[in-house]
Amino acid sequence: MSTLQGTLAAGAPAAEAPVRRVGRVTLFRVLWRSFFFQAACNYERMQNVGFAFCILPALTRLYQGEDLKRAMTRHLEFFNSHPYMTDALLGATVRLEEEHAAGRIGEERIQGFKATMMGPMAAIGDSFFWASLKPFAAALAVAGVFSDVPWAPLVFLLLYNMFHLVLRIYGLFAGYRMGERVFEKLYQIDLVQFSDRSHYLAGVCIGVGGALLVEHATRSRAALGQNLESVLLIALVLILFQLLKRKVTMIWLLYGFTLLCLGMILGLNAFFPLIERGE
Amino acid sequence: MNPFYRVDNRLVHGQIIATWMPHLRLQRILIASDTVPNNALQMTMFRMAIPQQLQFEALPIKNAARALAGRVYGNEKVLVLFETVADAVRLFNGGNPFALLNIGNVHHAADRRRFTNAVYLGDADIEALKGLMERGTRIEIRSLPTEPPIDLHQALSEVR
Amino acid sequence: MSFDPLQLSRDALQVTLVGGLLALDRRGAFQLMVSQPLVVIPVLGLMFGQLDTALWMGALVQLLWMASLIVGASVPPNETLASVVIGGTVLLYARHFGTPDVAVQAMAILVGAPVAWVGRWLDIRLERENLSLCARADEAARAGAPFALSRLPAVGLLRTFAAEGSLIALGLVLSILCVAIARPLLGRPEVKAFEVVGIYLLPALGLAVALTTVRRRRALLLSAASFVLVLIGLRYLEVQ
Repeated sequence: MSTLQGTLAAGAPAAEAPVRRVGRVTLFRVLWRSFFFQAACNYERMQNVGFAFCILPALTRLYQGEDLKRAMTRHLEFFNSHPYMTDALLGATVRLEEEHAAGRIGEERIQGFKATMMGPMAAIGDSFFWASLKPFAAALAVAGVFSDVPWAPLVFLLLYNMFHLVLRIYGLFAGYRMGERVFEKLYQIDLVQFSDRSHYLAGVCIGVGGALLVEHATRSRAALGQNLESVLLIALVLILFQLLKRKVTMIWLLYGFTLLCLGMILGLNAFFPLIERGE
Repeated sequence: MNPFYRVDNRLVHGQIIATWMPHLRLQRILIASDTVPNNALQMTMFRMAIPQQLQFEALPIKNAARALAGRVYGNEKVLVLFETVADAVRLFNGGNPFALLNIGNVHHAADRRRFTNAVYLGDADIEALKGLMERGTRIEIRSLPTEPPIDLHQALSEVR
Repeated sequence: MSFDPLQLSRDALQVTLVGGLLALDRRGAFQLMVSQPLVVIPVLGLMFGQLDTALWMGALVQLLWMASLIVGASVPPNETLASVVIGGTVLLYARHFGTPDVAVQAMAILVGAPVAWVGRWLDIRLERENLSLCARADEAARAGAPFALSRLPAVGLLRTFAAEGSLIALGLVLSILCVAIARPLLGRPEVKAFEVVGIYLLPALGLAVALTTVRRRRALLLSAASFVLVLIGLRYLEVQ
């Protein structure tokens, strides 16, 4: 029966129970809860508890008794997506739940929607926030610290959270307004293109930060002359970069090269005591 | 170049775009599935999530096997994604045997055995994969390119 | 400077509490990125009035773990816990033992880095422990009890805080002991050698890691170009 209603819903809106809206307060409660979306991640079903927890205020407004039990169970299925992008999905799912409560669509439509959206949403969120915006903002702030800007970490937080909070808040309400068609809005924002560009910005920041770092490291210590030291340091960066590309992990390089470094200096010093012991 | 074959029940998601894409220098993503090409919403979402410089298509398994066996993609670096192990085995038997299969994410279900945090395989899956291994295919369990791969053959023999 | 074990443990407790709270931001709550080394260490620095050293350390540690990503079900090393231990060690050393010179900073990083991997192991354990929360959620759904479900994330956060806080405390105590005992034993050649590690090797490694996060070849060229331009510019200014 519910499947039949689901398929008919698009064409025949008349003669059905009116859709009950959850209201703005409930949406704000969902938004607040979404900040704890990953607080109970587990291996088998990943973020399922988080999703059910976030959408619960809407469910308790729409359902009672057996319907509520069913709705809670429905949202405890496997779920895994990007935490910030999930707000748009939560908004859209609240809208779908309203329609379901009014008997217009079946529950498998809600489940199908979530299952379809979680992968691509994670793809957009992971590549935008984790792989692009975070390294870019961090590289910018690191370059800031190296040029003696004490509030650089604040710039990092502001830049990052400007995108983060806007996407969360706007995403939830846009998702609620548009329901299943929320992807159209995402199309317009086009985070994917921005992800691509931010790599160039991050590249510049790392270049600038690197130059400041090399300058700082070679400034006062003119044991070999500043230019020669800079060249050696750049060569070291390139060697380490190549090793990292070849899957040597950072921790091995950290300890391996430290031992090498200590061994070389102390070993040389044992034969040619340039640095004298004692004060 | 040989395509890279991967089983991932979330299909295109963050791991693919943020890690495998640069690692494999991908030029094309091909989803081999009998359901995805007919799901308009899913197709729209994938198009949106995949950067523009990548080609993307989804084909029913039979057509995908024909296309791959006929080498229609020439020198392109292709990632072939399956939703389930069964789909991968069908493509293998459908005239396109491959030498390496990556298992990235197969999530938990009641009757499945845990191999890693992201990969749980049922008995039917394991039997089907054994069939592939007997025909010389190497099967690795690995979610991210930075993780050390786990060889399924070894993992199975260690338990016995 | 007189050594006061009571004051030291009070300070260590303060680092543990603040660090443990900031660490929740990494995955469980908010994710405003206040758990990044670049923010965590300067926050601790503000607490102890050592902002300059803390900024520098924060930036360096940030670079070293720049490539660690949380994508999907994979769990990366926990750079937040490592940075709390590293930053805490340097700051507590400064308060109780003496000037945290480059040798101390380098030693703190070397001693504190493994905490990130222990933290990874801990995070995996926590996600496994959380299976019980998943079971309790199922129960709540069967009983139709929304309050029982609403409590679960708080339980998850408390568990994380307890576990990660203990790791921070343990790591911090071991690390500060290591550094405070080892530093006076070093002679001048050893100090020089650690200075080379701190001034050349660690920044070079950090830069190399940061470069691996740039995923486009042309962006790498851009990076190299801006590097050369800025370096030449700085040298030119110096000559003037």
